[in-house]
Amino acid sequence: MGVNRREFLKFVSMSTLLGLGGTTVAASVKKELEASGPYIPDPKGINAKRWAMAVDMRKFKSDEDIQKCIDACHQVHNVPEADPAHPTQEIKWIWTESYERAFPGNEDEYLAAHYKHMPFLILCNHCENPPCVRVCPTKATFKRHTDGIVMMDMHRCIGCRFCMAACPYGARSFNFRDPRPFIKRDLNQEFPTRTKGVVEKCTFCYERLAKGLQPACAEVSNGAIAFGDLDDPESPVRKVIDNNFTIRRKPELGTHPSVYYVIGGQEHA
Amino acid sequence: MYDSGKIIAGLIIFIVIASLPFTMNLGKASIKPEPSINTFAINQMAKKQCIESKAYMKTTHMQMLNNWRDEVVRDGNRLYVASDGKEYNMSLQNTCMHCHTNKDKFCDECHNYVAVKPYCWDCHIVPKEGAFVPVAAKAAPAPAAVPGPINVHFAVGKYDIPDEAQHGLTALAAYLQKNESASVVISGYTDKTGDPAKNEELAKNRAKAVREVFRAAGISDERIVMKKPEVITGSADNAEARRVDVSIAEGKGV
Repeated sequence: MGVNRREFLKFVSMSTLLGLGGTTVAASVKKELEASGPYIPDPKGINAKRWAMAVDMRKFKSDEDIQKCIDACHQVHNVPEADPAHPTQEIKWIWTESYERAFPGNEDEYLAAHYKHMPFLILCNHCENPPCVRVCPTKATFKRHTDGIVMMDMHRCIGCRFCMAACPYGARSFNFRDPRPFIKRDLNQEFPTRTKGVVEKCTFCYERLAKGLQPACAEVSNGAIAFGDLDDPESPVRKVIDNNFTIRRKPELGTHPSVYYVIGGQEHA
Repeated sequence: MYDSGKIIAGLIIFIVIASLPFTMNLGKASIKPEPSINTFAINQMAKKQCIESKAYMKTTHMQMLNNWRDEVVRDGNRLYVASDGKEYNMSLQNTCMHCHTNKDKFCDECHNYVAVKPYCWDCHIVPKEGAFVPVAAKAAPAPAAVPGPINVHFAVGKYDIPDEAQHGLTALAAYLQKNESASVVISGYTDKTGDPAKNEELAKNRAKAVREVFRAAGISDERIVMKKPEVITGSADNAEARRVDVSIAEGKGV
């Protein structure tokens, strides 16, 4: 007999203890390595707890003002135009909708014509509780824990379109075909295009925020689109929300959109 | 051996077919890939140095690009601190390809040789062969046209310029620097609340604060027109009223 029962148990318990100790030491070493990694955020970037936008529809004086915001976004992000043969498969980052389509359930029979036909500027709401993120099987779409932006990782998207079914705002578009032939403007060489088979949407210009710039649409909106940190009472977006009556799209769904709309009051009242 | 004739003939046929890939390519060895670093940007460099050593880049660039992708897209880390302490923007399109503008003679040279097809270029834009033209200026909306008027909004009782207005002002200043004949018109406003005399002072101070931005950008005083509005308490909305209007005018002075 080489080992008796007592010796065997001693050996097993000691090696278990050693193993447990080993993993904790290894984990702490790993953590240290990760913390001192060579990857750091750009100091020029601007940060927030939760980015949000307030669209003041009163300040858009003409259709050109709105088109300017759309064009700026599409230029910066290489967004293709719709294929004339399949106009319903267009790629939308920021676009316009009528009141009854933007705020369904709120429409009244005798809504002032002014509001009824107002072209509301619509984009991804960057919800606090995004249903698209919950359904994504590859985590290609995810909410950044640092600033609440609902991001797309095109490298991971497998084009299953669950997110498009989940999004109650229609803010996501699928690339049914290679988008490059449909980009009629000069390509922005600093930003990639997309490829066939991925879903895309507005990203609150995360790449511009990282450089310390405002989102493209807000920058050219002449103050009609306020952008800032919802958590900061001094931010431009909070000032608009604090001083005006604002509404959000489909709040009853509990997704907590981060895009607020000022549609009237004061000047029109 | 039974049927030795058939078996041997069959074996010979098999060996000939199985060795076809070798016999067909005999004497046609593929040329060893030699990725070229002969581009305009690289030739301009005093010391031809990639972000890490050549050996490291050769063996590890795939893992490195994967790490970069994850760090940028998922964690928002944008800068890579190289082993020599230099910081680089982690971007295939905006860092790697700014020097290696010759994708087909650099990337493809090896990728084709080992028959790998990375899908980078499905989305990332291949730079145009030859000189790389920085597109920062081109990407900005309408740089040639006269920039539209902007409103700088201020906090109650304050006349320091908020950060979010800086970008618009810088754009106007840049336009003025380029166009000698243009001038800028500045008008300050306050809201209706508070003492009118103090408000007038405040409106003036706000306009002066904006003027300093243009002075700092090297615009001479004769091209900065301070225009006092007839009514300084403009607009019904108080937040809207606490502002300075800045617009571009052609020709010096008014």
